[in-house]
Amino acid sequence: MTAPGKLSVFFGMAAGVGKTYAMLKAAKDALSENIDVVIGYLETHQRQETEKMATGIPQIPRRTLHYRDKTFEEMDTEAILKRHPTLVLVDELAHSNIPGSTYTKRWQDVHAFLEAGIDVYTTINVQHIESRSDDVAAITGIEIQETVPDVILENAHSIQLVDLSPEELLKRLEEGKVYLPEKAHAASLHFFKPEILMALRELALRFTAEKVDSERHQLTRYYQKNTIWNTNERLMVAVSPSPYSKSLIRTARRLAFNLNAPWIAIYINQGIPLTTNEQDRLLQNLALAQELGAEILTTTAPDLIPALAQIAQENHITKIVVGRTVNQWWHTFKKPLTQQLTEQLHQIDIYVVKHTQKRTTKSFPAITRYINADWKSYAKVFVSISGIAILSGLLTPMIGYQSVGFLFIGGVLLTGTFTKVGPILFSAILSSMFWNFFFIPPIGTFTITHPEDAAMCLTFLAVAIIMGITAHRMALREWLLHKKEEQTRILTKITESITYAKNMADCLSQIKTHSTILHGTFWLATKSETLQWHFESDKNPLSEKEMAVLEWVHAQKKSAGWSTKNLSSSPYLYLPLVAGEQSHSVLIYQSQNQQPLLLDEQFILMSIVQHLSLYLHKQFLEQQNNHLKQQEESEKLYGIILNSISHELRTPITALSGNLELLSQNTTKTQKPLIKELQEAVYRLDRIIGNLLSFSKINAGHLHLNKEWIELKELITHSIPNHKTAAIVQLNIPENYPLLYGDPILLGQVFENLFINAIQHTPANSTINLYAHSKEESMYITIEDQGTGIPPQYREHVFQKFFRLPNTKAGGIGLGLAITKEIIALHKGTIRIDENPNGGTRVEITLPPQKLPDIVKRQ
Amino acid sequence: MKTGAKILVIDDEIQMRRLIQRILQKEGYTVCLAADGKEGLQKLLDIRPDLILLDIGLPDQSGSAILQTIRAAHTLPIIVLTVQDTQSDKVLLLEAGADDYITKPFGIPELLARIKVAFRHHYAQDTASVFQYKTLTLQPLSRLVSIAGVPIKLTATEYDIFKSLVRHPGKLVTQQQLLREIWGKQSLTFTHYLRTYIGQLRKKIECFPELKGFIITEPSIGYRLNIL
Repeated sequence: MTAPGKLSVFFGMAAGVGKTYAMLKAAKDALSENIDVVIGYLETHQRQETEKMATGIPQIPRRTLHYRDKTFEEMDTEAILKRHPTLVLVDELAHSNIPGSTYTKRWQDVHAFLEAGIDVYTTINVQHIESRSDDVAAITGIEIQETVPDVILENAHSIQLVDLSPEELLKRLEEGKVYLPEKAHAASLHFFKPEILMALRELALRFTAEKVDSERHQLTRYYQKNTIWNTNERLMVAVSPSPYSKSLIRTARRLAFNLNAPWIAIYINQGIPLTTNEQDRLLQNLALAQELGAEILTTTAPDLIPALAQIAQENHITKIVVGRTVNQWWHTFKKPLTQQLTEQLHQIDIYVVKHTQKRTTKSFPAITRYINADWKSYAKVFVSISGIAILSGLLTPMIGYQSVGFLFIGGVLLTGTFTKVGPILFSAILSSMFWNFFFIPPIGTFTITHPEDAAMCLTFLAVAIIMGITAHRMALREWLLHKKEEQTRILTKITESITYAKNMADCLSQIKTHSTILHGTFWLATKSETLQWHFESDKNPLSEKEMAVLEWVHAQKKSAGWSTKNLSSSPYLYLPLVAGEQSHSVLIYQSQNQQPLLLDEQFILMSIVQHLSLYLHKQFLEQQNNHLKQQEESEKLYGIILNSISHELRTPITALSGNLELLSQNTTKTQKPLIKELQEAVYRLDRIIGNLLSFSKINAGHLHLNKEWIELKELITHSIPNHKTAAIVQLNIPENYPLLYGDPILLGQVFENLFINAIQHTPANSTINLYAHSKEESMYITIEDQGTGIPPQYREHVFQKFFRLPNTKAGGIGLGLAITKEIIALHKGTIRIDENPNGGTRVEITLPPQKLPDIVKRQ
Repeated sequence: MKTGAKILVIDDEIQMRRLIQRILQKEGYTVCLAADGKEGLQKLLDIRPDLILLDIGLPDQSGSAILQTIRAAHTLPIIVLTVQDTQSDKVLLLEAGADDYITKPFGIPELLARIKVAFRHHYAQDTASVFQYKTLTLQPLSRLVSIAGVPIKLTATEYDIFKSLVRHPGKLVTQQQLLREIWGKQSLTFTHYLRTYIGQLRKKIECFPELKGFIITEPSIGYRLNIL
């Protein structure tokens, strides 16, 4: 895993302050330090100064894209990732890519660079920062579309404020030194007014100051090793489909950031039906909150305040951010939300946030929402009320026209249980009209002669409306409860199926039977160890293009596809299952109607992903545990076997060699060569056993280094075979040769093997030379013999296991050099075989630099 | 050391017992044999040997357990027979009370030398007296080392290390022991100090032909003086 790259942001109050120029200047400095810099995307606006500054920095050609018959040039993210420079320059961080690009926003491209370990220089204006866009809109009156989440800037390694006084900037503007896009000319001109620039400048300066302040906080926190949050504060903000929720969320985020506190965004589903627009906005708001770093909670409750209070208590919330509700005329009899909150929550600070924008008249749609119902329910209401009217007609002679009114009230109550507020009102009005028209004398007219009848009729209307709405509310409450119950039931079922599932397939099929709430299907794709994708069903439903998306999701561990920000043109939604930093499975969801996911659906889908991830993680841990156990067991067994083998083999060899030695002390001349032969055979056997044991240790990965500081001369003197050698070993090690950090036993084995090889292949009485020198703390040790040498074509092969040079004397099984190479490799060194210029073989060992400890003089 | 000393060989392998018996009897030692730990401990009490050769791969007891049992009541020298395994095991055995170790397969001269050293060290008289080997003399009182009558200039640390080796002539002194004695307990991992000082000592002492190879390194374990 590479370390993420560092982001440096050149930050300014407005266009024209010289951010791009400053960025290029910094890049030039980096270039002069031989850092690999490329331009990913640069907007010079044909300004000579800037263009001149950019010359000399290599540029990655832009990608040309066609969209709606037009040609666009975009940054070639793939090419840059492939080129993998040390530093890339990306101008205008807030830019939105045209559809068809990998990412919708440029900051996502930048994020990808950072994750790939590439450093990035980029530029941005204060108005493009998500949390400041409201302020900017308030200052300038211009709605900002392209924004960058604050998190990106918070994680920036450095933020360089490029500052210019408003007067200076306006002067530059007059001189035509500032580029303004044609179409936004008028709007931009509105921007460049001294008072606005002053305000923007303040905003930019303040943002930088806040960032510095938070860094200082983090630093002190780091040194104090406190808990993650140094305050005990926890913030909560309630999210609604309202467009003002956005500014509320941003305020909450800023507050949380300044307090260094975690925060929760909560949506309480009160059962109020949402229009598609509202649904969209709600999801957007929740996504914004998530993007800004909030924890998202959703719950279902009919009453807002008790639900808020309960959640605040459950989550140990210390501060709540609410918007100021605009009092409508019907709120006159109700306590304002803020007052209700303060009454319910004594322990919690309540922040009431002003509305930054004027409220556009939205009260009408608020009412229409309640009245909105399909014509069927109105028809139903009409039919049932008509039925009651006929029934009443039959009953009037017996009970009188006044009592009939109660029948109508009963009818309105009944409609209240199955329809919305609109039809209820309709049924109340209809009933009062029917009653008036058909029953209150004079019959057949809407005129009422008796004042008491008029009073009764009005009372009837009021009672009908109140009762009907109450009945509706009760029904709604029940429905909400039912829904909540259903959600809980589904969740319980899912949890159950995961807990008791025998395997993944079983688990999935169980989940599928229980998640009927989803308007779509899903299936699992898993990448096996052989890097092949396996799908739940046998056939792969994905096209080549979709497979690329799948690979992307797998690699990035991020969701993508339909209804997300990444690669949203795909018809499927891809959700990675992340199990303990690993992601080998991806859940693919296909919506049936391609309608945006409802909140409930989203909730269930996320729960499925979470639970499956947990299941996979559990499986992974179990596997790992088993594997570890097995390994431990095998290691133990291996140790026992190795011990007994070496013991069992070495004891008879000791008996052999010892007895032979005793025998050799008093033998006749004819026996002597025989005994010598036997002794040599035993010696060889012992060496082979030693090599086989080391080899099996290496093979099983059981060879561990016990490193210590070694004196080379001492080590090598020890490694020269002590049985009578035919050749003379000459050591050429300089005085004061540095100490070597390694395993003395294993390195000893290396030199012993090398010497034995050299002796075996050299004529008697020749010299074997060992040279050692060190350069820049690396050690170079060469052994030169004057033997037969190794033909060039075999020089690589001699280090292979069981390789023996053709036509060599018998003896050895071809493991010595393989072990030697392995041991040198464990010391991170290299070994090479060359030709000795004086004839014979030259072996060169290189060992990496080691930090030499200082010898401390004893007091 | 006097010949005729009693040596107890504890080894479960009959071939090993017989081999060692043959080698030692030829040198004039009295040898008694034991096939396992239990028998070995019994014989230790019965015949009161002067030295024990102990194989650590006994079937009934682990090497360190039997070492501990013996060391609880006896001070006689113990040489451990081991197969080439990890050096750390050997260090553990030495720490557990073994005087020395010998690795199978071993040569006869090696075995005899180790036995002699163990005896000499164990039954040597006080160590404050002058040490002499070939042309080298060490006078503890004046902290003077001289070779062939010429004083050798040693630093304080070099002298202390050398003195530690001389105090146990021929016996294996572990790195830990040296580090503890010279630098104190907190320096047990500073083996590179030792390497450097031993290197300097070698340069100053082993440049005399008669003292070549005087200081022997046992890789990963320690040092001993070659005084045979």
